Amino acid sequence: MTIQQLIEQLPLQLLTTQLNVNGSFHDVYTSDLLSAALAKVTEDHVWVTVQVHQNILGVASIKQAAAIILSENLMPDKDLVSKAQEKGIVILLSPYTSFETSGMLYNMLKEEKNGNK
Amino acid sequence: MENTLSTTTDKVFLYDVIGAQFDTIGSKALAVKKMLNDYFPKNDYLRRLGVCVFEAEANLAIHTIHGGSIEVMIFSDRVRITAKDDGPGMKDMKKALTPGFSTAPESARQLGFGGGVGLNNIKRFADYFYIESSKKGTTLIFEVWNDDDPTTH
Ligand SMILES: Nc1ncnc2c1ncn2[C@@H]1O[C@H](COP(=O)(O)OP(=O)(O)OP(=O)(O)O)[C@@H](O)[C@H]1O
Ligand SMILES: [Mg+2]
Repeated sequence: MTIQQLIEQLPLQLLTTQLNVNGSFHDVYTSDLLSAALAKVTEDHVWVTVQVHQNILGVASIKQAAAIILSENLMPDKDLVSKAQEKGIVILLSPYTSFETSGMLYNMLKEEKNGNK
Repeated sequence: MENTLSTTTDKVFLYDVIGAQFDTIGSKALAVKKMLNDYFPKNDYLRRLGVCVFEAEANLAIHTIHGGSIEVMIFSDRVRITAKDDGPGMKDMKKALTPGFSTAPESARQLGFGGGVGLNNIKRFADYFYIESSKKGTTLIFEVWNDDDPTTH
Protein backbone atom coordinates (compact mmCIF):
# COMPACT_ATOMS: atom_id res chain seq x y z
CA MET A 1 0.00 0.00 0.00
CA THR A 2 1.30 3.47 -0.79
CA ILE A 3 1.28 6.40 1.62
CA GLN A 4 -1.01 8.19 -0.82
CA GLN A 5 -3.59 5.38 -0.61
CA LEU A 6 -3.30 5.42 3.16
CA ILE A 7 -3.95 9.16 3.30
CA GLU A 8 -7.03 8.85 1.10
CA GLN A 9 -8.53 5.77 2.74
CA LEU A 10 -8.30 6.56 6.45
CA PRO A 11 -8.31 9.59 5.82
CA LEU A 12 -5.25 11.31 7.24
CA GLN A 13 -3.85 14.79 6.96
CA LEU A 14 -0.45 15.16 5.34
CA LEU A 15 1.59 17.65 7.37
CA THR A 16 4.80 17.43 5.36
CA THR A 17 3.12 18.74 2.24
CA GLN A 18 6.36 19.17 0.34
CA LEU A 19 7.24 15.51 0.47
CA ASN A 20 6.18 12.95 -2.06
CA VAL A 21 3.87 10.20 -0.88
CA ASN A 22 4.52 7.53 -3.48
CA GLY A 23 6.47 5.40 -1.01
CA SER A 24 4.91 2.15 0.12
CA PHE A 25 4.72 0.13 3.34
CA HIS A 26 3.57 -3.32 4.36
CA ASP A 27 3.55 -3.15 8.12
CA VAL A 28 2.71 -0.89 11.04
CA TYR A 29 4.33 -0.52 14.44
CA THR A 30 2.64 1.31 17.29
CA SER A 31 4.57 2.46 20.36
CA ASP A 32 5.40 5.58 22.31
CA LEU A 33 8.67 4.15 23.60
CA LEU A 34 11.50 5.35 21.41
CA SER A 35 13.71 2.34 22.12
CA ALA A 36 10.89 0.00 21.10
CA ALA A 37 10.38 1.87 17.85
CA LEU A 38 14.12 1.89 17.22
CA ALA A 39 14.18 -1.87 17.56
CA LYS A 40 11.11 -2.68 15.47
CA VAL A 41 10.44 -0.03 12.85
CA THR A 42 11.94 -0.62 9.40
CA GLU A 43 11.75 1.17 6.03
CA ASP A 44 8.71 -0.97 5.36
CA HIS A 45 6.82 0.40 8.38
CA VAL A 46 4.54 3.22 9.25
CA TRP A 47 5.04 4.20 12.88
CA VAL A 48 2.04 5.25 14.99
CA THR A 49 2.73 7.33 18.12
CA VAL A 50 1.48 10.17 20.31
CA GLN A 51 4.99 11.56 20.79
CA VAL A 52 5.29 14.90 19.00
CA HIS A 53 8.78 16.05 19.89
CA GLN A 54 12.02 16.29 17.92
CA ASN A 55 13.41 12.93 19.01
CA ILE A 56 10.90 11.00 16.90
CA LEU A 57 12.60 12.39 13.79
CA GLY A 58 15.91 10.89 14.87
CA VAL A 59 14.31 7.50 15.38
CA ALA A 60 12.39 7.61 12.09
CA SER A 61 15.34 8.76 10.07
CA ILE A 62 17.76 6.22 11.54
CA LYS A 63 15.31 3.44 10.68
CA GLN A 64 14.11 5.15 7.47
CA ALA A 65 10.47 4.66 8.40
CA ALA A 66 8.02 5.09 5.52
CA ALA A 67 6.00 7.59 7.60
CA ILE A 68 5.03 8.63 11.13
CA ILE A 69 1.36 8.87 12.06
CA LEU A 70 0.60 11.17 15.00
CA SER A 71 -2.66 10.05 16.54
CA GLU A 72 -5.40 11.98 18.38
CA ASN A 73 -4.84 15.03 16.20
CA LEU A 74 -1.73 15.86 18.20
CA MET A 75 -0.41 18.70 16.13
CA PRO A 76 3.38 19.10 16.37
CA ASP A 77 4.94 22.55 16.20
CA LYS A 78 5.96 24.04 12.86
CA ASP A 79 9.61 23.50 13.62
CA LEU A 80 9.15 19.72 13.78
CA VAL A 81 7.28 19.70 10.48
CA SER A 82 9.94 21.73 8.71
CA LYS A 83 12.72 19.56 10.14
CA ALA A 84 10.83 16.46 9.03
CA GLN A 85 10.58 17.94 5.57
CA GLU A 86 14.34 18.58 5.53
CA LYS A 87 15.01 15.01 6.59
CA GLY A 88 12.47 13.58 4.16
CA ILE A 89 10.25 12.04 6.84
CA VAL A 90 6.55 11.96 5.98
CA ILE A 91 4.36 13.08 8.92
CA LEU A 92 0.64 12.29 8.93
CA LEU A 93 -2.02 13.39 11.38
CA SER A 94 -4.81 11.06 12.49
CA PRO A 95 -7.97 12.15 14.33
CA TYR A 96 -8.22 8.71 15.94
CA THR A 97 -6.45 7.19 18.93
CA SER A 98 -3.39 5.01 18.33
CA PHE A 99 -5.54 1.96 18.98
CA GLU A 100 -8.19 2.99 16.47
CA THR A 101 -5.65 4.10 13.88
CA SER A 102 -3.75 0.82 14.21
CA GLY A 103 -6.97 -1.19 14.00
CA MET A 104 -7.99 0.48 10.77
CA LEU A 105 -4.53 0.02 9.32
CA TYR A 106 -4.56 -3.63 10.33
CA ASN A 107 -7.76 -4.21 8.40
CA MET A 108 -6.58 -2.25 5.39
CA LEU A 109 -3.35 -4.22 5.15
CA LYS A 110 -5.20 -7.49 5.63
CA GLU A 111 -7.69 -6.63 2.91
CA GLU A 112 -4.87 -5.68 0.59
CA LYS A 113 -3.16 -9.02 1.24
CA ASN A 114 -6.34 -10.98 0.61
CA GLY A 115 -7.07 -8.98 -2.52
CA ASN A 116 -3.66 -9.80 -3.92
CA LYS A 117 -4.18 -13.52 -3.57
CA MET B 1 45.11 -1.83 25.51
CA GLU B 2 44.46 1.34 23.60
CA ASN B 3 47.86 1.19 21.97
CA THR B 4 47.19 -2.13 20.33
CA LEU B 5 43.98 -0.76 18.86
CA SER B 6 45.46 2.42 17.48
CA THR B 7 47.89 0.49 15.30
CA THR B 8 45.05 -1.12 13.37
CA THR B 9 43.20 1.99 12.30
CA ASP B 10 43.86 5.65 11.77
CA LYS B 11 40.24 6.60 11.34
CA VAL B 12 38.87 7.87 14.61
CA PHE B 13 36.04 10.35 15.01
CA LEU B 14 34.92 11.94 18.25
CA TYR B 15 31.47 13.30 19.11
CA ASP B 16 30.48 15.10 22.31
CA VAL B 17 27.10 14.59 23.92
CA ILE B 18 25.77 17.29 26.23
CA GLY B 19 24.28 16.16 29.53
CA ALA B 20 20.63 16.77 30.44
CA GLN B 21 19.77 18.06 26.98
CA PHE B 22 17.05 15.81 25.66
CA ASP B 23 15.72 17.57 22.58
CA THR B 24 18.89 16.99 20.56
CA ILE B 25 19.13 13.27 21.34
CA GLY B 26 19.57 11.49 18.04
CA SER B 27 21.51 14.26 16.33
CA LYS B 28 24.90 12.66 17.01
CA ALA B 29 23.62 9.24 15.96
CA LEU B 30 22.47 10.74 12.66
CA ALA B 31 25.79 12.52 12.18
CA VAL B 32 27.68 9.25 12.79
CA LYS B 33 25.42 7.38 10.40
CA LYS B 34 25.94 10.00 7.71
CA MET B 35 29.72 10.04 8.20
CA LEU B 36 29.92 6.24 8.02
CA ASN B 37 28.02 6.17 4.76
CA ASP B 38 31.31 7.01 2.99
CA TYR B 39 32.94 3.91 4.44
CA PHE B 40 30.05 1.43 4.51
CA PRO B 41 27.38 2.42 1.99
CA LYS B 42 25.00 -0.28 3.15
CA ASN B 43 21.58 0.64 4.51
CA ASP B 44 21.10 -2.36 6.75
CA TYR B 45 24.49 -2.06 8.33
CA LEU B 46 24.12 1.67 8.90
CA ARG B 47 20.69 1.22 10.44
CA ARG B 48 22.05 -1.29 12.94
CA LEU B 49 24.83 1.07 13.85
CA GLY B 50 22.43 3.99 14.01
CA VAL B 51 20.21 2.25 16.54
CA CYS B 52 23.17 1.43 18.79
CA VAL B 53 24.65 4.92 18.65
CA PHE B 54 21.23 6.48 19.30
CA GLU B 55 20.87 4.39 22.47
CA ALA B 56 24.40 5.23 23.64
CA GLU B 57 23.79 8.92 22.94
CA ALA B 58 20.47 8.87 24.81
CA ASN B 59 22.09 7.29 27.86
CA LEU B 60 24.85 9.90 27.92
CA ALA B 61 22.29 12.69 27.71
CA ILE B 62 19.88 11.22 30.26
CA HIS B 63 21.88 9.28 32.84
CA THR B 64 25.09 11.28 33.34
CA ILE B 65 26.11 14.45 35.15
CA HIS B 66 28.14 16.11 32.40
CA GLY B 67 27.25 14.18 29.29
CA GLY B 68 30.11 12.33 27.63
CA SER B 69 31.83 11.38 24.43
CA ILE B 70 31.25 8.94 21.62
CA GLU B 71 34.34 7.71 19.83
CA VAL B 72 33.94 6.01 16.48
CA MET B 73 36.77 3.82 15.23
CA ILE B 74 36.58 2.57 11.69
CA PHE B 75 38.19 -0.70 10.65
CA SER B 76 37.94 -2.34 7.26
CA ASP B 77 35.40 -4.87 8.45
CA ARG B 78 33.78 -3.24 11.49
CA VAL B 79 33.09 -0.12 13.47
CA ARG B 80 33.92 0.13 17.15
CA ILE B 81 32.07 2.66 19.28
CA THR B 82 33.22 3.75 22.73
CA ALA B 83 30.83 5.85 24.83
CA LYS B 84 32.39 7.35 27.94
CA ASP B 85 31.23 9.58 30.75
CA ASP B 86 32.50 10.68 34.16
CA GLY B 87 29.66 9.61 36.38
CA PRO B 88 27.63 8.96 38.38
CA GLY B 89 27.88 5.38 37.10
CA MET B 90 25.44 2.52 37.50
CA LYS B 91 24.52 1.48 41.01
CA ASP B 92 23.70 -2.05 39.96
CA MET B 93 24.94 -3.29 36.61
CA LYS B 94 22.82 -6.44 36.63
CA LYS B 95 19.66 -4.42 37.16
CA ALA B 96 20.69 -1.89 34.52
CA LEU B 97 20.98 -4.67 31.97
CA THR B 98 17.57 -6.09 32.87
CA PRO B 99 14.94 -5.12 30.28
CA GLY B 100 12.38 -2.79 31.82
CA PHE B 101 14.62 -1.43 34.57
CA SER B 102 15.12 2.31 34.28
CA THR B 103 16.13 5.23 36.46
CA ALA B 104 15.22 7.78 33.78
CA PRO B 105 13.66 10.93 35.24
CA GLU B 106 10.02 11.77 34.56
CA SER B 107 11.08 14.53 32.14
CA ALA B 108 12.76 11.92 29.93
CA ARG B 109 9.93 9.41 30.27
CA GLN B 110 7.47 11.94 28.95
CA LEU B 111 9.48 12.01 25.74
CA GLY B 112 9.35 8.26 25.31
CA PHE B 113 12.67 7.40 26.93
CA GLY B 114 12.99 5.22 30.01
CA GLY B 115 11.56 1.94 28.74
CA GLY B 116 14.69 0.33 30.10
CA VAL B 117 15.56 -1.47 26.89
CA GLY B 118 18.22 0.75 25.33
CA LEU B 119 21.22 -1.28 26.45
CA ASN B 120 19.44 -4.45 25.37
CA ASN B 121 18.89 -2.93 21.95
CA ILE B 122 22.62 -2.38 21.65
CA LYS B 123 23.31 -5.95 22.78
CA ARG B 124 20.89 -7.21 20.18
CA PHE B 125 22.08 -5.14 17.22
CA ALA B 126 25.81 -5.17 17.96
CA ASP B 127 28.23 -8.06 17.51
CA TYR B 128 30.38 -7.23 20.49
CA PHE B 129 29.28 -5.59 23.74
CA TYR B 130 31.27 -4.56 26.80
CA ILE B 131 30.36 -2.28 29.66
CA GLU B 132 32.03 -1.25 32.89
CA SER B 133 30.86 1.25 35.43
CA SER B 134 31.92 2.81 38.70
CA LYS B 135 31.19 6.05 40.52
CA LYS B 136 33.87 7.64 38.35
CA GLY B 137 31.99 6.87 35.21
CA THR B 138 30.74 4.38 32.66
CA THR B 139 32.48 3.01 29.59
CA LEU B 140 30.47 1.22 26.97
CA ILE B 141 32.20 -0.42 24.03
CA PHE B 142 30.46 -2.15 21.19
CA GLU B 143 31.24 -3.22 17.66
CA VAL B 144 29.06 -3.75 14.64
CA TRP B 145 30.61 -6.01 12.05
CA ASN B 146 30.12 -5.69 8.36
CA ASP B 147 28.85 -9.18 7.62
CA ASP B 148 29.54 -8.99 3.89
CA ASP B 149 33.21 -9.06 4.60
CA PRO B 150 34.39 -12.70 4.73
CA THR B 151 37.30 -11.78 7.01
CA THR B 152 34.88 -10.91 9.83
CA HIS B 153 34.05 -14.44 10.86
N1 LIG C 1 25.99 6.10 31.06
C1 LIG C 1 25.26 5.73 32.12
N2 LIG C 1 25.56 6.17 33.36
C2 LIG C 1 24.84 5.79 34.44
N3 LIG C 1 23.80 4.95 34.38
C3 LIG C 1 23.45 4.48 33.18
C4 LIG C 1 24.14 4.82 31.98
N4 LIG C 1 23.57 4.18 30.94
C5 LIG C 1 22.57 3.46 31.47
N5 LIG C 1 22.48 3.63 32.80
C6 LIG C 1 21.54 2.96 33.73
O1 LIG C 1 21.07 1.77 33.14
C7 LIG C 1 19.64 1.81 33.03
C8 LIG C 1 19.20 1.05 31.80
O2 LIG C 1 19.65 1.71 30.62
P1 LIG C 1 18.87 1.46 29.24
O3 LIG C 1 19.49 2.30 28.19
O4 LIG C 1 18.79 0.01 28.99
O5 LIG C 1 17.38 1.96 29.58
P2 LIG C 1 16.87 3.46 29.81
O6 LIG C 1 17.87 4.42 29.29
O7 LIG C 1 16.50 3.60 31.23
O8 LIG C 1 15.56 3.49 28.92
P3 LIG C 1 15.50 3.43 27.29
O9 LIG C 1 16.91 3.26 26.82
O10 LIG C 1 14.64 2.27 26.98
O11 LIG C 1 14.94 4.74 26.88
C9 LIG C 1 19.29 3.28 33.06
O12 LIG C 1 17.97 3.52 33.48
C10 LIG C 1 20.31 3.82 34.05
O13 LIG C 1 19.93 3.55 35.38
MG1 LIG D 1 18.68 4.19 27.37
